[in-house]
Amino acid sequence: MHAVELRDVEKSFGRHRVLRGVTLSVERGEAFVLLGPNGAGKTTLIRIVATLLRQDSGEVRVLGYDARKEAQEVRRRIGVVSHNPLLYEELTARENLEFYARAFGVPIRRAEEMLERVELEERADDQVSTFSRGMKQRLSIARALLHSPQVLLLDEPTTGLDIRGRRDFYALLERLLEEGVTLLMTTHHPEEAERLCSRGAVLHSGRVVAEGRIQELKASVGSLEEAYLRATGEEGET
Amino acid sequence: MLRIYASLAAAFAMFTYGAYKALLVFPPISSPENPVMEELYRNVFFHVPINASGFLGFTITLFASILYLKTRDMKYDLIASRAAKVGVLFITFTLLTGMVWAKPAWGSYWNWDPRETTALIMWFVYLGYFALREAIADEKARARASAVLGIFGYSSGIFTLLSTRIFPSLHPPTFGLELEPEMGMALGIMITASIIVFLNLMYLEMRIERLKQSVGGR
Amino acid sequence: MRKVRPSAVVNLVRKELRAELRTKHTVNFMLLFSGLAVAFFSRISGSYVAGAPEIGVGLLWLVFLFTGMLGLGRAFVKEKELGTLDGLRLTPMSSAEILAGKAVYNLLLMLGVQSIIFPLFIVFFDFPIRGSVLLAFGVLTLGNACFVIVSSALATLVLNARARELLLPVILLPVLFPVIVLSVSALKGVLVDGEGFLNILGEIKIILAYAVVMSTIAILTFDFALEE
Repeated sequence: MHAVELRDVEKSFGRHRVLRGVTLSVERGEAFVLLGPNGAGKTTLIRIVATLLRQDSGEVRVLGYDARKEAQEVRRRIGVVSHNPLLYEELTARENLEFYARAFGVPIRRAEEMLERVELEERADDQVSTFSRGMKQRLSIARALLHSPQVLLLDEPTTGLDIRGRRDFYALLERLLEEGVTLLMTTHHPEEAERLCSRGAVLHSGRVVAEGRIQELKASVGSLEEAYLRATGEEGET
Repeated sequence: MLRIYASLAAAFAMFTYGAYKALLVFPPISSPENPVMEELYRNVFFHVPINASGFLGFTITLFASILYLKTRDMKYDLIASRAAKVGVLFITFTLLTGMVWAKPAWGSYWNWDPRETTALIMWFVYLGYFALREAIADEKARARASAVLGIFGYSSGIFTLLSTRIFPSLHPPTFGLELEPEMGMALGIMITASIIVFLNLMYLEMRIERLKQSVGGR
Repeated sequence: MRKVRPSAVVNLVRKELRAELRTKHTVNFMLLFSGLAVAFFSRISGSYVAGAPEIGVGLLWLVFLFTGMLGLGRAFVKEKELGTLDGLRLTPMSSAEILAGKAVYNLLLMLGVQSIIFPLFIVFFDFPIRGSVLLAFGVLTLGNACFVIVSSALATLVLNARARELLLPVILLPVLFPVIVLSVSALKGVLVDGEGFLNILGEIKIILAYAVVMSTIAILTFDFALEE
């Protein structure tokens, strides 16, 4: 059973076809990266896997559950981190996590554990509105991990983070990977993903234009970035 | 197209027959306490059929909305919205024929009688339905939101039907109107004619909308 | 999918109250607006109301209606704008639980406004009270309960629309009309005519029936309304 499986997924907004027959599978315990320029459909794809959007046609399965028909089951097993931290600014870090812990039906002490894990216990009782971008993003990960999800979906998670923030962030992701969590992430910084991800796919105009092991993608053209540019036919422009 | 012409011709014939009977053949009803009513009752043959078709339209909207949410087939969104559009048109004429009747019968065109009031509110509900549709750009989001409102909005239709029982009203009872058999038959013919016209208009509206979509407009 | 666990609803209500009480943006706005409206209505129509108190009852309802629409419409729009609606949808909470949580929280807000505006109204309008004030408050609460159910359900429909703040009243007012008329009539019965519970039972029954029908439709359709 795959962690995430998409078959012929189509999605359009009005006349604009955002995803045109995407087929992909992510193995359990691996880190998979989706590359592609803005507007390629990466965010839409993540939101469909996260049950936040419905695909028009095709099949999406997460850990064997149908994302459309068994959304509740999928939601119990996935965590989502996007550039929006999905936190309540007026509440403190602890209150945010306690709210989500209750909503997921996990013990309240998980909130405390996660605060320690992302090293925010000292600011636990401060309102989120006073947090820096990096701190919000760490708290957002804590929120996403409260219920120990088996699959973590990350949509441009490092947007707005400084160098140190990124390094800490990737260190945390590496530890999660060691613990057996499946990672599916999007980024338009291919060089970042290289270290972490074993496989990837390049999305362009709603189609998968290249897919494979990172080494294979790299070996054929030198660097992943070039693979990405070549696959999307933009060599001349950059 | 031939089917449309044929059914419209049939509806026209039925309408002519019904209108002839209603306006020229049936005798005045004796009504000693209110002499105006002796001739005025003829309005029933126009007001009631148009009203019935309007309600039919909103009922179609209700069921098509439910079917849309169940199947996500855009066909049902088209049916629901077109039925509502023609329904609004028919309810507009219902209000107008009601006003024409109300002036001599009740003394003024608009009296805030419960039946008038609730019908007007129902009219607003469905205008709101179109305001909502206009404001949503994505066709699936539009279909979904207006389907939900189409279901909620039907409550105003039910409220309108029950209004004469809930509140003291001067409006004749909605159900159980007593008529001579011959008059009942003429009314039935008029209702049938009106429904045929309604369905044809709705069908044409659906075709127009499909054509608009196929040339890329909204 | 549609089961409602009280603990989940309480959790959501507590979160909303905590966030609101920390900034008090909505509460302050609602109190200020409704206070202003009562003062204006009283100044403009005070002498007429003395002659025809039922006008006052209608005005009181208008105040609640506009306060509620302006204030409560924000609740969902804010969650949408900040993206926390996604956060809610990512939890295994059922849509019915989210709806119930929002409706209960909104009702608490309206009760707060009601408790302050109702006495103010009686003072400003020098309203003759012939029946039980408690019963009148109960009727108001029942009307407001219907109001929050329908407005919570319909507010989500306008989230993807342009000019959503304008659109909400346009679709909400006509759907709410039956409740408004019936509760104005019941309230007038109690306050002006001094009628007891049994005399307004007819209205109360219909309002309750309406509340049941609206809640049922809301619960059945809220899954769709929340989608994006």
